[in-house]
Amino acid sequence: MRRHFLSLLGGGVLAGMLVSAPALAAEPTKVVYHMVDGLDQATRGMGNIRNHLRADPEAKIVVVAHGEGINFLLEGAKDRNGRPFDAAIAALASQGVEFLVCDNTLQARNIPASKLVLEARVVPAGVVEVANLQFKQHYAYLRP
Amino acid sequence: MADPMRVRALEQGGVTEVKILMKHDMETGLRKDAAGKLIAAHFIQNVSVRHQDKEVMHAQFGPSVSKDPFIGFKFKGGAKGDKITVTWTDNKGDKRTDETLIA
Repeated sequence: MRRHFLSLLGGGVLAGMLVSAPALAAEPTKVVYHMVDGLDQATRGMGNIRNHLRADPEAKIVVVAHGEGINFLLEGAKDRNGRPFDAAIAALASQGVEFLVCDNTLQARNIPASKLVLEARVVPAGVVEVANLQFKQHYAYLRP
Repeated sequence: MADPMRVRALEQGGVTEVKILMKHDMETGLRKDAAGKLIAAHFIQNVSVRHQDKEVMHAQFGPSVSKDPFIGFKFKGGAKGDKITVTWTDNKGDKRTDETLIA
């Protein structure tokens, strides 16, 4: 009798796993890219994100920039080879990548939000955004 | 309802520069999905930009315009604090209007 009960229990657990497994597989990988180090890091990061989306087009990618990391999101920003960032940003944005810029940085460096590219969205604090994405929304963390 | 546009308008020396980033899939009707079926055409057809109540820019788009279209243009006569209104309509009758103040 007891054995029967156990097998029933086991069956129940197994059925539960079968039901939940497809739901897990369907959820896309969520990644936050952290930009804090100026244009060279941004160049690396943009390349990483492009490759990331090529290998995993379903991935949900959010870029959080603060400090020196916001430089590539300013209008007219160019990398060290003189290539502008704006086209690359637009291309990634239309693939669903979000670009978040820290308002504390804008205040501290005295940069008006109108100097940012249109794709960028201002959030109150970059660090809070990174922490919340990781802790509350279970994003993976990458720092290029 | 479609996603909001980003609209920015800056006045400098009597000339107002307007930049608009629309969020739209702009499907041509020629692309196929994973199952090989054609994806129905879905694109913006008309874009109208108004300064206060006067139209300052009108554009007609076709399916060859890229996803998430961007438009930038300049006009004379805007002043800081004036209202800029942008409206698009697409071939399915969807519509979106966003506005901003000239800075």
